[in-house]
Amino acid sequence: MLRLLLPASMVVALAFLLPGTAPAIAGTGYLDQFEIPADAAYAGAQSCLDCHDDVAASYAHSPHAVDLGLAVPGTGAASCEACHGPGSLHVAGDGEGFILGAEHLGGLDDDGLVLMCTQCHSGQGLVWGEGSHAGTGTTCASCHADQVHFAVQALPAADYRNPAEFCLQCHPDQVADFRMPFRHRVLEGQVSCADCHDPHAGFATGWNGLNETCLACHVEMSGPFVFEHEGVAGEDCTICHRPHGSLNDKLLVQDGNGLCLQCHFESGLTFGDTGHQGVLVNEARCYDCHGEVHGSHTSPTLGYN
Amino acid sequence: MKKFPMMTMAGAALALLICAGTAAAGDLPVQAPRFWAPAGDLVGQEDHFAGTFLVLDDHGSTAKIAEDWQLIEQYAGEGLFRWSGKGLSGGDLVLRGYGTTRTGDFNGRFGASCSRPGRMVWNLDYRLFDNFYDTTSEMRTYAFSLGSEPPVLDPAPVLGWNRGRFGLRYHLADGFDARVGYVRMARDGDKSSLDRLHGSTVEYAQVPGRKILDLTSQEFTVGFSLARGNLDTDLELGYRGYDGTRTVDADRTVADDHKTTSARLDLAYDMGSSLRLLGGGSLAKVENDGSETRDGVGRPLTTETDLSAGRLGAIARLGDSAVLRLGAVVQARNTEGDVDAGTDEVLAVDRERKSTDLRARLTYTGISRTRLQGHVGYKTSDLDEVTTSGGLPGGLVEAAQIVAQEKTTFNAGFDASRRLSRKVSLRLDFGYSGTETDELTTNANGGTDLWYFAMGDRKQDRMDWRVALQLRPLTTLRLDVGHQTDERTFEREDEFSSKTEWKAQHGFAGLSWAAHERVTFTGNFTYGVEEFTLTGGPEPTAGLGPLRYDGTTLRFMPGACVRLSGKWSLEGYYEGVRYEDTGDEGVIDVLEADHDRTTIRSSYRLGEPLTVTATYRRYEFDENRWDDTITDLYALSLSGRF
Repeated sequence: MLRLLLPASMVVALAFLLPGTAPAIAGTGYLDQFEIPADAAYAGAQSCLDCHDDVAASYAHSPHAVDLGLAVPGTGAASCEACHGPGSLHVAGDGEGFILGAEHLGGLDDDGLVLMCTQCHSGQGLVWGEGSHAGTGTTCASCHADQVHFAVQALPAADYRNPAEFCLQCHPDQVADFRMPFRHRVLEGQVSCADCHDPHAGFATGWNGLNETCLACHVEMSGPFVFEHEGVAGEDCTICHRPHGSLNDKLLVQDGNGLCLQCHFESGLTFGDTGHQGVLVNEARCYDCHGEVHGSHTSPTLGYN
Repeated sequence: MKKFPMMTMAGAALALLICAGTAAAGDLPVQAPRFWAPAGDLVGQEDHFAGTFLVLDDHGSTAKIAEDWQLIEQYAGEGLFRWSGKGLSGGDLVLRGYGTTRTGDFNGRFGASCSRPGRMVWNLDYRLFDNFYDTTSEMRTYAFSLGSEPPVLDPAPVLGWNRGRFGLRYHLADGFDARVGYVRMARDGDKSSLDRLHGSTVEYAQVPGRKILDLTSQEFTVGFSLARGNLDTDLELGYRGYDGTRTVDADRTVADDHKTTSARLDLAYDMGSSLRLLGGGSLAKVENDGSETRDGVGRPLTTETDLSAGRLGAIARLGDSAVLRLGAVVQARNTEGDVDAGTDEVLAVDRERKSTDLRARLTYTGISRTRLQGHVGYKTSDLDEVTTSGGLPGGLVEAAQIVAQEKTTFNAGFDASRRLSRKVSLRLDFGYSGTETDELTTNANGGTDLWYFAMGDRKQDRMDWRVALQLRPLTTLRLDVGHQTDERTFEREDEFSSKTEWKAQHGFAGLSWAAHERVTFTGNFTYGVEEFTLTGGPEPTAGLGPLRYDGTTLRFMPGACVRLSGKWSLEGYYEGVRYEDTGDEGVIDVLEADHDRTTIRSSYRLGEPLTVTATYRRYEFDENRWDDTITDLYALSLSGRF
């Protein structure tokens, strides 16, 4: 527990060192990032739609439009004004008064933009900050921009057969792996990126010790075994497997016995009391005999016999 | 002989594409270079449908074609649709589906989702697919120098795979949501597997067999999230049941009956606007009451694992340009298990693992046109394990082996991106991970001989780095080039002192050039080299088989897409992969494998809602062994929007 208290105390200490004017990174402080006139008040979404009829036509079918009365928890900001701020001065000025438009939103950094969404979508905000997309120049709008004002779904980009294409727009380097002879069938639509990757989390996935990414489907590998392979229980699956695709059978990282001997190579290839020279001369592979490579209940050598 | 038609067609396609560049302009959008895409699926985001008729003409190993492309039917149909409207509750309802008969059975997926933002959303997804396995898939790797084709299995092994998922999230009150989820997954059928029973002969593992699977898992979850003021909380409770059997060669069967219960609590608290604290805890129990049968003798077993984990973290903004992320995770994983068959041997294990994982990541954007990110991590883990054989439960311990292991891992890395000019951006990535393991294995009964294999102290290093340039010399030209290196070393620090190294070099380049308003060229090139070497200790005996390898992979993929008119478009892609392994030339022959894939596709818009698409594909696999195949696939599609 002391190991946990140390970083925690460091973080609390940081709180007292932070400049008070820094942009918000958390909580419902999205609007706190701006200097909003004191006399600005919420005018209601209908006031916006009365003039912005071009947006209204599409917004009426957007996921955000179902209930114009939905408000940011604990505030009076609802619908359009939840993101664009109180609009009374804008309405009174016939479009000239204060409103949070592109010039304001464009001045926010990634975390500030994410905060615009997480003030309502707090479930995503809970994990986003730790996620693999956080800190990479990616924001909610990178994937969900269309959903804010328009009727289309963020997913998929093309069709239902292959939702992975949405992710491949930014990760085209993964396509080559999915064209390997042995692969998870992502381009064929059997498996989706989201089956393994949570785009909002990533870093936090699996922290509870269940190794859920791979074992959620390959549950038979999860044990618990009486005899378990160190590589399975103490490490991660990617030491031996390339999950996207491989030239090698079973998505193995390396070919042949080199995979096993990378860790298990011993002089003379005598493991325990058993010499293996003669066996391997006949082009056998390690897991021809040690077939229960992930774990066994009865064989200490993870073998079939 | 096989190369000739392919080259002829590729040349003809290229000539046609060039000529087509002079055709009349139109408003049909240029299609993205989605060379992998099935025929007729470019139907956009609106409500749509597509129907496709497929004709397959294959030559060579049908089992391999089935495994590679999930194609066995000479004639097949496919279809997909999307429809959106209002559900009974007034919410936005979207129905989607895809189906095919290419495997000789109905395969596909169906999805439905309905949402009333701010109130509720539910999703349903069901997938049903068959996966074929080549009889010799385990033997096709480049480790084998076998010169003759092994016997085939008839029928070809096929594993049915289906998964259903349902999720409902409901907004109960201000800041309070509840959700439920259900996932069912089943696999039923067989995969190819080498017949291990023949292990004592020279015909080692050359006889194909089957691995028969019948596995089903079901998972239920219920969760609640609550946001109050500066506090976000999320609680999830889960139960997963899994049972199934796995049979290899008909005389070895493992039966599982798993029950997993879990609970997880996540917390986030905002201390001011620039600091978010994160915390959480998790408990889980995994129980298995199964059996393992070998040579006709069943051994019932009971295993149980208790997992507990906790974490603390923080996200802090340091000034206007830096964000610091800190995290700490502790885990404990205790396993007890025993096998009691009433036979000559009883096995038991008591295993405890503990780990602490500390991580920090700093993102800095204070330099103009530059993003820097660095991270460090430090992890320690301990393993204490006692495995006994014979005499349990209730009797004397006849043999026991004790493992005490301490492992420390340090990792660090950074990535940087900088926009050098309006037309050039540079990206650098570097990562390092080093693990040192101290392990002592002893015989608890004082004997000197260990009961089973053990490893001593060891050290493992992994390093990778990447450099990439994004070049945009013209608004119509995108060129990405880069290089990537991965290295792994593993050193035994016991009496064997062996060292193994695995190194991979990977260069890549991607091009997209809109040469004309109606013509787009694409190109992709990758070059990869892998080496695996052994040092330390005596050399393996000559003829030992391919322990090492030196593989080179070359992949190139030119393509072009042309709008012939306002209604007519044409695209063509060629993808070539060349592989060569020369690592054990003294032991086996050099292995060479070629993949050649060609796609030619043309679409004609019949009217505003309807498009007809014709596609020809050729997949060709040529190896200096027995698995050569040629697959010709013809497809005609009709798609529309509504």
